[in-house]
Amino acid sequence: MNNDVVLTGILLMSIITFASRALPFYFIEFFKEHKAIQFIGKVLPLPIMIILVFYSIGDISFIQYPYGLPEMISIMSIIIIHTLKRNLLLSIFVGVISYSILFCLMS
Amino acid sequence: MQANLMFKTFKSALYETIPVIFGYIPLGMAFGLSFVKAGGTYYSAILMSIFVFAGAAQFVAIAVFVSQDSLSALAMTTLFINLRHIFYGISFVGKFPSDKFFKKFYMIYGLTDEAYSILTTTRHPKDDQFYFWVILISHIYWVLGTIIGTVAVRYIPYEMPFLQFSLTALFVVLAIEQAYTVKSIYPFIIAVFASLLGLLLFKSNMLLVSITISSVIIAYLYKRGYAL
Repeated sequence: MNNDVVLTGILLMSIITFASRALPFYFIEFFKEHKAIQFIGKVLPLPIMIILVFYSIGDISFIQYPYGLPEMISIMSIIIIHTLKRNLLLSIFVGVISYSILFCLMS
Repeated sequence: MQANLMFKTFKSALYETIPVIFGYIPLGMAFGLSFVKAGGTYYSAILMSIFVFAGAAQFVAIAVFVSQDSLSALAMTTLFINLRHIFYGISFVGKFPSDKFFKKFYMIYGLTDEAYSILTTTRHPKDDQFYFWVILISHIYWVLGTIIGTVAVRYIPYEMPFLQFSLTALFVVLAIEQAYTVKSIYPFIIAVFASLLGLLLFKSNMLLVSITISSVIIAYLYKRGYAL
């Protein structure tokens, strides 16, 4: 990891992140006027999060043993526990435990 | 504000941010740990947690740095991941102090998922001093977690696949939280389709491709007048 790149990257990310948080405060009129922006901002985050889920799983094969089952079953258990309890830490904890057990059992 | 009242507000904020401890310390540790294990310096990890303060984006940044993708790829990825923050500010327009520039700047700066959920669900009277403390305390926990993570690298010599999955778990939870605000099945179908297609064609480099595919499909639906 090239540290110069990292430091520049931090600066870049900092500005972009702040901008995304500041947008409604400083551009409230522009924001309210353009329906397209509202639509994008409302609809796009969910697909992005879902894509991130698959991205973070990385290279798994659904056709080779263990067929991605530890990941899929753990994700299902997170969905179930989170819709029931809506507790961030609990859900993550359940998911990681479930994955650890399944991973050890199946690999 | 009198010192007494300010201290009381601080204590309330300290109490209300207890859930944040359980989220940000482990996650911050996971970030600091992953960052250093991937080859980054401990101080870069800490700087990122101080100046970016966005968990999901920070984790993905590690992967981007490792794969040596361009900074523009990093910028686009960060932008897409942080898009959802645009909607957090709407609830607080006019409620942050307009006379104190730096305070307002900092409060906008620190409006994370956790901060947003605490500030919108708290039963404490909604004054800006309270908001400020919640954000500051959360920020401190996040940086603290990162520091502990970078230090812990020495004591955890082996790779833990479980740590990797905790990131997946975080994204699943964030996705569910997003799903509560969108009342349609289309985004879900589009995303799974785009993800599987991206994984198939590009394996680990699927992120921007899948996001692009999803955006195009959603833009098309918008043009066709789908209200979603």
